[in-house]
Amino acid sequence: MPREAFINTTVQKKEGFIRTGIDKLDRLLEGGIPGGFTVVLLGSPGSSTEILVKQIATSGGVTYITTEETKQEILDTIQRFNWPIPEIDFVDISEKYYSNVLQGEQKRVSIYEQRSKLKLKELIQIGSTAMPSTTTANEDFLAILSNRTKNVPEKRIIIINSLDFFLSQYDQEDVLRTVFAIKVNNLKNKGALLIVMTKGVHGDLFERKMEGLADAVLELDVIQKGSSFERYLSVKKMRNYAKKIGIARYVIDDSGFVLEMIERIM
Amino acid sequence: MPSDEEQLTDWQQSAFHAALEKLQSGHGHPDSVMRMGEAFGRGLFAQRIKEKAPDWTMKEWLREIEKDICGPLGTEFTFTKISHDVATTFMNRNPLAQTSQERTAESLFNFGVMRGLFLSAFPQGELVLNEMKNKDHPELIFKANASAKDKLERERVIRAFTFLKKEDGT
Repeated sequence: MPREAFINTTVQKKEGFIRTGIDKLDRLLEGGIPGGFTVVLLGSPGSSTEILVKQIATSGGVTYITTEETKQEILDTIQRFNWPIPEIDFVDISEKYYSNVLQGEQKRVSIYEQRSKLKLKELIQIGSTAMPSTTTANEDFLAILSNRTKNVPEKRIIIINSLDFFLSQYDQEDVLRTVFAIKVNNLKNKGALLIVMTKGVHGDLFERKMEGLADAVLELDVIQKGSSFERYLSVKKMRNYAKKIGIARYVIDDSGFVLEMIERIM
Repeated sequence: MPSDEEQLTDWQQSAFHAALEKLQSGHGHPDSVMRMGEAFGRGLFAQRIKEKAPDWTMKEWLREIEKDICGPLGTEFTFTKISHDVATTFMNRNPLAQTSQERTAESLFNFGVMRGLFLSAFPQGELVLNEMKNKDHPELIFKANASAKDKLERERVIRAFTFLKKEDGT
């Protein structure tokens, strides 16, 4: 199994490849992500996938669809690591989601207030549950995802962090269909689509379907060795670039995601 | 080669571990524990229930879930009422609760799993928690056709468990 240590040289910009902004990762990928590729980023708990995608977001030309943290929380983390803050087009589903949750909570409180103030006769007139007669439908987050990725300019990085959110609210088949549509659009745009997903939650079958749909699969793992933990990034699949399949150890330090050693499998 | 039961238990442990990790990460919110439970429940349904009838009754759903999911997972329920669109139950045994120290997170996760399993079959339904009779052993009510008030139950449960979380320090 050939091993190679990293040399402190900058990766040359290659035509048709999209740089991740992390020099050593681009070196592992021999120039970056091929344009039009859909990359599934499978992360084990504790593997710091969140930090990796935020660092990639600082490379510029990124549309960042966030479901786990709000835009402000992401910007706070970027500032904490002193990374540059280029133009990032945020699609803040997290903010929308939590404001829906808050609205629901306010509705519940207002029902309680109505109940406490109204007379029994009036309550019966409104209905036993005292709900307003009209209700607004919840937002369709999968439709938002589909729409916002449709009009992205060419050669851009789209980060979806994470698919876990959509898989908690929609059937797996519906999510797969949407991802496939986004993939086709990305292929046309020659961009890089990065989809983050937690490993070991959605079932082997779904993970295999996602791996089949993806052009590239990167997996982040944490392995306990004695009393310490070692983190590894594996390039499990790279369509048409079998030579790029390999594994690299990484650490997270004050500068962010640092790859230490590449081990080529092929 | 691990047995079917072992594989399922490992999968559940892995999903719960991921939920805890999300909770403990920088901007973790109890909602993320529920969401991971829901995602796991939907995944279980998609992977284990081979044929979903378009017009399932509550009894048919329960029969499939008990045979293909709850049984292998070692989860046991006692049903006090089953009609064509409502089922009321108590959870008697939950192996995840026996192995986890994080009681509140485990309860939230488990509610999410049952909700994900249920909504996969009954998208218009809702899972309602009734702690009125017994706070330590709440009733789970599966409603195939949820009212607008029932639809707010998820947020109420998260709020109730978030309050508990602060009380018991987990």
